[in-house]
Amino acid sequence: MMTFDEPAAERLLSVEDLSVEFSSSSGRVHAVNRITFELAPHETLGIVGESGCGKSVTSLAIMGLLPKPAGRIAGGQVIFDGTNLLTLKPDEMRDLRGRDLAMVFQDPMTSLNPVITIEEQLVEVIRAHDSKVTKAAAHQRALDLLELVGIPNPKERLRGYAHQLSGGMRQRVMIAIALALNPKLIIADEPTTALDVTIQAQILELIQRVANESGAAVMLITHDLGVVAGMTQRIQVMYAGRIVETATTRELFAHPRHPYTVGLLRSIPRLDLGDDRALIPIDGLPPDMTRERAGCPFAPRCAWATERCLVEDPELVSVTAGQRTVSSGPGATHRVACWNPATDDEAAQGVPASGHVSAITAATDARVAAAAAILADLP
Amino acid sequence: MLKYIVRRLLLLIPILFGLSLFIIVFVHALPGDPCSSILGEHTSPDRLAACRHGLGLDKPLYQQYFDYMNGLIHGNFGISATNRVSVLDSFVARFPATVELSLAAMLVAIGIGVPLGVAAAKRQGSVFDNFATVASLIGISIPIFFLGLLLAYVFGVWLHWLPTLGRVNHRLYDFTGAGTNFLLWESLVINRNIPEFLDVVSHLILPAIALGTIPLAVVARITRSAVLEVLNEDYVRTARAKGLTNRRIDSRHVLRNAMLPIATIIGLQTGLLLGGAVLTETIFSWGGVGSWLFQAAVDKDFVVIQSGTLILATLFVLVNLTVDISYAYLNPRIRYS
Amino acid sequence: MATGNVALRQVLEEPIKGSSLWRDAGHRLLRTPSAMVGLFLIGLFVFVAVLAPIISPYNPTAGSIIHRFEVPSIQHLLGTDLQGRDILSRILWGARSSLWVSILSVTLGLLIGLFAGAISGFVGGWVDFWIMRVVDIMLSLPGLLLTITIVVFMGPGLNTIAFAIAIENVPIFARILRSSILGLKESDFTTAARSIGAKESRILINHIMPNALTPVIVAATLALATAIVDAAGLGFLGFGPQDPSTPEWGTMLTDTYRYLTSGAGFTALFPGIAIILSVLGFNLLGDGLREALDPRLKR
Repeated sequence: MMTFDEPAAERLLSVEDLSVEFSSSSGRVHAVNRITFELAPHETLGIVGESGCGKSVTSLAIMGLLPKPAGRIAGGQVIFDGTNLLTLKPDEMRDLRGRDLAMVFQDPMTSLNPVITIEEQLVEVIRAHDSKVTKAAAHQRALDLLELVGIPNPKERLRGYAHQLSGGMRQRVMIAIALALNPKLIIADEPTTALDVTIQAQILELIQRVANESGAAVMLITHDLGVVAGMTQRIQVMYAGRIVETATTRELFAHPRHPYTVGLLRSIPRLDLGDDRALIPIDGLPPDMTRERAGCPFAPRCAWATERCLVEDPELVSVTAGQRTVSSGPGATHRVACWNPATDDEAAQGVPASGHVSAITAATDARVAAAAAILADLP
Repeated sequence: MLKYIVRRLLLLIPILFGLSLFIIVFVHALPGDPCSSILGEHTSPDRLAACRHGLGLDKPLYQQYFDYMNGLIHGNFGISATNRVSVLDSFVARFPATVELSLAAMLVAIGIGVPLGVAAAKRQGSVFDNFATVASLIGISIPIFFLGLLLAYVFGVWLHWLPTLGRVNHRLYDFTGAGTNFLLWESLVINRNIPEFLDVVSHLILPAIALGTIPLAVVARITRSAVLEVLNEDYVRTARAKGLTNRRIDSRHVLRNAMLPIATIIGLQTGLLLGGAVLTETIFSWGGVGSWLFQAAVDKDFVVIQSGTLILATLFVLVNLTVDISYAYLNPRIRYS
Repeated sequence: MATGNVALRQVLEEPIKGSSLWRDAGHRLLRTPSAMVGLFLIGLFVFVAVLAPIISPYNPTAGSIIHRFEVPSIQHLLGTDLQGRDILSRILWGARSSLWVSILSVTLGLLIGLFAGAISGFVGGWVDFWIMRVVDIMLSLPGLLLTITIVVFMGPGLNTIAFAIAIENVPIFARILRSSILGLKESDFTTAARSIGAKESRILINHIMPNALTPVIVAATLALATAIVDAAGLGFLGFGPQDPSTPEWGTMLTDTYRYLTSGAGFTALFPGIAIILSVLGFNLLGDGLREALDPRLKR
């Protein structure tokens, strides 16, 4: 169990030792493995990782929306605003969703109901949590919300349907729905992935603006470090259902420590650095999550891997030993789960310093040599 | 929308022409004619020829078709060769019985099939779901006449709970007044006679169950798969994320979307039922269109077969048109112009 | 040519029939318990129909009036009918009639329907237009009445019944084949095959037909079920085989209907159970096939 040095009262959300499993035909998938993280009120946190790394599952677990009966929470706690969400009665959790916890999903094309009006989709969330709101008041609120998210002709749009709107406009409607009851936390799961590049920036800016205005905390989930760069205060990198590195955005971009983060940074174009380095993809595939394995899950793809990485799983610890650990907010400690973190120089090069032989390469070489020896012995 | 309806109705005209041509060629292509069944096998060639001449069957086919179509345009659907009664009159007299039976059967099908399908989908993989799946497969596999027999045997002959023949007990109640032949309507609204109404309803129950079982099974299966599909949609997850109650999610988000395929299948099944519940009407002595056309087929009564089939096929097309139009109201993504 | 193209070419040259699509479908089918129950019921049905002369305990047409309407006993496992004939033997022999009608009607319907559908789908244009109009008309006609009319005019009997049911199936098969051909003609893999210069005839035989036939196979299985029900219905209405030495399930039930109140007990309902079991077999298999052959339904 990890302990933090700031008072618990300063936390809006604290996820402790959360594990999520899925049962599938090919076995039990350990989608999220004992992750612990915190979120301060009004903070914007980016969660970054490849698809399948558990970032969306984490958000669904917090919302109580894991697909049933396949997904289940195998352990841990989710404490939001002082209450453990995992022990709430279904109806209490339902009332919290949409009111204090809101979510914006990836694909606005399919996330709005195609056969009922935009107005009904906005009004129903307002009235679901407060039956005393009159229809007229709810209508007015819906109108204000559409205006707030920058939809032209809101009056007309309210009467319309989702298919009459463009993708960007639909995502604005989704944001309006999320904002309807001034939630304390907005989880945005890949909110711009399905949109045109030109629209993406507008939607991100909108999320940032409305979060600032309403004071909501934001968890932005994305596979694209470029998306979170200008928008979040803190970043958490996930791999194979674990958090492998977390730091303030500025710190993470300046001093990435985990080889996976280094790889992610090297695989996005960096115009701000003004150089023309080649983009380097990360070799290999994410691990098969149905199997429990020893060692660091990234080790098989890691150029920095040492013998230890193959047998011992690293914990998420502060990059500077002995430092007091702050889990959230602008002064959050830079932490990494790695036995052999990259140095600034190595991060800039994208490869380990010369002289390091990856344990994986070494192991492969040894096997090749052994095979060659056997072949040589054959008559 | 109005424009679309008018265009669809206009398109009906060539379809009806094609339909009538197909039916008349089809009927005449088959060996035999009404005279052989009216006069019996042991008749003289002279009498046969006279009969054929009297019915106009000795004319060339194109002439017969022309005469027939000419009559149709003037609202004359022809005269039955066996009992010399106007086809239209017979149809109008019998159609209400078929309508009441079909609607009652659809009521059974929808009233049980939709909730059953929804419940099975929501408990996918459970014992209840498996039971419902097997039950609906048996429902599809059971021959309608066998089910009718079984129902008549158990509830009529054995338990004496329900009547198994006819639409009403004529010894107790006599419908002569309004003459609409819609007995449910007449007994309840015109005669305001509750025991009479209940008698009509009791006669309707077994035939409606027999006729409604296949549509019930079909509706339940479609509902189950439609609901399963919708439950996986992103907008249902959105609805949950909004903190709506389960009841609201089910009614406004799941069922509202699942209704699209369900409505289509309901329309199709209604059209099929109106197309003649021959077997059900025969077993329960239900004086509807199905048993009438069945008799006409046995008598080889050309005109009745032609006109009756034509009217039923037209109704089928009209029911489908109604389904298409109602579909536009259910699905705002489709706008007919 | 780049290595990638060689690989693509190999994939495309290999007939889909021999590829894993059908093997996968077979494996999925074997893992579906309901389909296996269906196959078992069909196997039983065919077994009984073929071996009826050997396995039936009595002559299905001989009986004595003294033994009429007997309840099940060791001598007569399912009792006797109104003429004292052994019901079990008549049911076993009746399977022959049902099997014959269902196979003949579906084969005939497939021959005509697939021919019309293939022409419609491949030729297109006005040929397609007119074939489809005829199909529309036939589909809007009340089905059972059409069948009855054909049987009345052509005379009762198993072959006439099979012919009438085949006519009812023709538009269904034609439409299914046509729409799957149209869908596949525009599909990505056809375009891919064309883009590497495969011959049209080869595309047709290797790529379009095997895939287009998938929904037809499902429809044909379900049509076998419908054929058994319809044939029994026509038999029930009195259009079955007029020769009393050919037992038929629907005709057997007519006797029940007439004598239900006068002695014929529940035993007379046994032919109905035979119909349900055989129809259920084809419906279960048809459902299983639909799921097994459609990879998108894989869960």
